[in-house]
Amino acid sequence: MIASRNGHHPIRVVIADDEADVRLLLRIQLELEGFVIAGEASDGQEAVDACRDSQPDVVVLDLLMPGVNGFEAIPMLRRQHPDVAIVAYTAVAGDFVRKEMERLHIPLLLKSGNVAPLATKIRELAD
Amino acid sequence: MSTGRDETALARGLDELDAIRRRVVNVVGHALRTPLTTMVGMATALRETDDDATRATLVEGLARNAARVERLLDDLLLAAGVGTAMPAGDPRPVPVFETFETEWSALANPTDLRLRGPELTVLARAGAFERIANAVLDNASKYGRGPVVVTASATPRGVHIEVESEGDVPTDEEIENAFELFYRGEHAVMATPGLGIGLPVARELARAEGGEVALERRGTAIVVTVELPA
Repeated sequence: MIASRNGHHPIRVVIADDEADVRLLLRIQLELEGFVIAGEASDGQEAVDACRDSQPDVVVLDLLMPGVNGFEAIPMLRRQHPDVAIVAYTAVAGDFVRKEMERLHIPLLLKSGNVAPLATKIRELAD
Repeated sequence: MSTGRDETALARGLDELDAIRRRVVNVVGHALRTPLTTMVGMATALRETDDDATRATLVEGLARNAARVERLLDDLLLAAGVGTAMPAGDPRPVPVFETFETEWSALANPTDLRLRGPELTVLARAGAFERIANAVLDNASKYGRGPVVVTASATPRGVHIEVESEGDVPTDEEIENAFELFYRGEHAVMATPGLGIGLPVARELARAEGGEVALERRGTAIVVTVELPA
């Protein structure tokens, strides 16, 4: 298990993505990396609720989701769960998305079959 | 001899072509990237785990995503007018609700499907009705909220099917353009990755079987209707 920033418990992650297979894969990959999956969400509102229920260290947030999308969820997460770090995790990011995440100081990673960059970023944020 | 008007029209035409090119590259990249990266990730995880149950889950996931990529490519070819992607053979009876249930469970994120009316059959060539059902259900699950309700009824010409969901009600422009290739309305762009070919392909397939697909607003609901011979 990997300790979180306070060193007392493993790093807890919420996965928010509308694609069931992306959530399934991230759960398997991140658990293999030693993280604890504290919750899953298929839209932005569920991500906010999951953070309330499971108090994770980090939420991995897809940006394009039906219902409340990732862009709309970010201010809700910041307001209601200021201690939870956010990683934006998206399939394609154009200039607008990159600049918007930069403005909000949210790390942005492109979806990839290689989970290592995401795992590294989660550890950095939880440190 | 070209005139200023010709040059303006040419420049506008080139701008439009460039806009279409960018839109196609963007939507194709987006829609294909997710299942492909998922497959790469699943194949990698398969090598790294010894747990039998996890391995079985990953193999199923690989097959599911490979089928999804195959269907996306078929739809793209069909949308591009490549005849080989059209269903072939003779029409045969296909059960409506059974097909909708199968296609619903194959979606990326199925939620709540409700079927109303008797189990009827339509006449369609192999794969045609399955792809129509998949496209309209995919559309409803992505842009609707809450349950998706499918109603089937017999008509003198065949079967009338309605796929209804509550959601962001489409604008007049979105309804007008819903069957244009690669068109994605404002709601779609912000909601989810997609190609913008689902409904055009469904209509193309339905027409090839002697039927029709249409989209309408009904109060706060979005309704896609499918007519097919029986």
